[in-house]
Amino acid sequence: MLDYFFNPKSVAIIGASDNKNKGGYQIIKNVMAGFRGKIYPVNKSYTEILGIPCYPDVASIPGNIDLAIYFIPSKELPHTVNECAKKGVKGIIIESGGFNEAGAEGIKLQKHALENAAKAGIRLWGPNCMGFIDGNKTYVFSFINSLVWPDVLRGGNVGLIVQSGMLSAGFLLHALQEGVMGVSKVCSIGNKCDIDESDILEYMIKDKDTEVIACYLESLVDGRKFVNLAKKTNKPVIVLMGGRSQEGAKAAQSHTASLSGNYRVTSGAFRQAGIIEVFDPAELTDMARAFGKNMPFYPQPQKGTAILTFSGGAGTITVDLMEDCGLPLAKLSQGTLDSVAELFPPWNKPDHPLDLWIAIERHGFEKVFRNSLTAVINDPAVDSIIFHSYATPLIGQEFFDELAALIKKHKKPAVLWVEGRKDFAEHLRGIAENAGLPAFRELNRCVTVLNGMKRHFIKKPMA
Amino acid sequence: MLDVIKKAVKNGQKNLSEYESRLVIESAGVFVAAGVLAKTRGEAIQAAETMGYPVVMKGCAAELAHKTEAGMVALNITNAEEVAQVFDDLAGRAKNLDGILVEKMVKGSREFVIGLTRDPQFGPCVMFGLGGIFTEALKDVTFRVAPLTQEDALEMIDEIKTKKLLGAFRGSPAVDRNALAKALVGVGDLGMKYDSIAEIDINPLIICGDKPVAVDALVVLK
Repeated sequence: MLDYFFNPKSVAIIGASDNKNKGGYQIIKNVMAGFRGKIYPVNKSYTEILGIPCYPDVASIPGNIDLAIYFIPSKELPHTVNECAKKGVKGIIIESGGFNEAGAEGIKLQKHALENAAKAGIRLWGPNCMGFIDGNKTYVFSFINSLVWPDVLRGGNVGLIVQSGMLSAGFLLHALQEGVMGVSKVCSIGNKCDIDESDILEYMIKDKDTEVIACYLESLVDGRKFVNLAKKTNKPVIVLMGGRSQEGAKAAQSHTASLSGNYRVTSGAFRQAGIIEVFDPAELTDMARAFGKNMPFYPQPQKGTAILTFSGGAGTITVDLMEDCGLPLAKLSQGTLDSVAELFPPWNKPDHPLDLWIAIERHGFEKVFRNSLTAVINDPAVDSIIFHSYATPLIGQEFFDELAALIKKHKKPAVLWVEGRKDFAEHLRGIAENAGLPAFRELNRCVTVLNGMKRHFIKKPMA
Repeated sequence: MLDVIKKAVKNGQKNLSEYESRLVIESAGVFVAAGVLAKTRGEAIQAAETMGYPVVMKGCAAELAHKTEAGMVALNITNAEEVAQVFDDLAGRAKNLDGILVEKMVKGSREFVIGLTRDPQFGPCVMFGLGGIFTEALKDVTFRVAPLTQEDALEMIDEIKTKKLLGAFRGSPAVDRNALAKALVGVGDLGMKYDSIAEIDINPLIICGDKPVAVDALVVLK
């Protein structure tokens, strides 16, 4: 199902252009860069674009086509759908605007196109969207600027469903550059006149390349269907819902013609289905990235998180943030505390959160971090760790590889907070992320991500 | 279909009377205060004497969706003379009453609300939250899509900000969480089973001892 969108053999680009300032140029440039099937640009002003033949209309294309990408003015859509039907097209991605979001005339056009498509058995994607990207196959069926993405696009296991054009582009760039996260499929669904979030969710749940599903949505076409799909999968489904507030709902309506429902009901339905709700695009990427690392995690409500820090203040703030969201602090055993105490001077005893500074002064970062992490991870009351790492060149790649191995062995994840000189901190964060550990520069992001993961894996335990 | 619903739909009622609403939610596993629909003064006195004082008396008819505003509720009635007097007073205030509902007065300072709504996106949904006069002001409510599992219902109970009130609180025992969860599941099931029910409003649901007891209920029909 929907394979003709994600795995077409041939693609027609209606509105392809040789003019570098136009979106139609970006689309063909992008498609040609990664797609190895047949490509048919359609534009009556050209006979050739980027070295391949261009056709004046869909009817002139030799043979049948699986997928069409539509990027010409909205008024042409209804009859273009009929032309596509004659060429065996199964799906059309409509990236142009000027439909339901643009008043009475647009509404009429969208309805008319939809009727024609239904008669021909064609599925419509969009309109008013940025199409889709497959990070593993390097398909870019979008007018996203071809200069911006190629060096940052990274294949991976995170699928994105996004109901916003700019957000899918900007968000994607943010997500790819923020840390080590690769995408399986990025789907911008716009007005969703036909293909909606549930269709894509259903596809991604079955898709082997997708292990984590992250969504930005401004409405749900069929809420019950969406949550029922989410309920049945163990893949994490993370949703940022736009239009929660009264003013936000108004903005969403003019943006993508979305009528948001009763947010409180939606939020309750999400919890019931085990959907992880987030409230900011950065939180969405943080969460998706952390889940995407596939750290083993078997949390239990009665167990807790251990905090290792080099700063008493940061430890205190972390505990506050944890209590705010209901993430419990682990009750460390006396044995664990005694073991950490071996690094402490006799006149000072460690307490939880473990403020290790006094030990670090005596034994150095690596030894203290290594010994206390080992002690804590072996404590049966601990199911996860928040680790505050000071950004110093004294800690290197080997240390984080070692920590990653420890996590794998004990099946207890760690989330890192990295603080210190900015260049060191960014460097260290990169090393940690590469080693498979989510690392952040802000305490609240550590806590939010760990809380989301704990809730998820309690409700939907790892195999 | 429950006879009261069938009859009400047939009669074109917009909602059920409180007595009928009680029957419906009771069938779904919600505790209600002991109550009798008295047609005569004698029946009212007998009911009050049997259930024990104090009692509450309410004029009962489908048209009376807002009884308090209509002056059709009398609280804290403590003897037979008062029952007789209130009966005459209420009966004289409105025509076409189904009767006077005599209910055991439920005491408890912890008030909650259970609701059933039909959401355009999710269909029948159950609401649970803080009840009484704070419902509107604090909006401390949470929703789940029907049908609910017992786990869904327990999760709702833990989700409201004022959940502390459901634990042992100022000398009152902790609420029977399973009974409360069963009520939430039951209300959701009503929404799944009876298409003709548009919404249900149980407010207040008073925690009496450790039991959640519905003290007022309204079933609205489509």
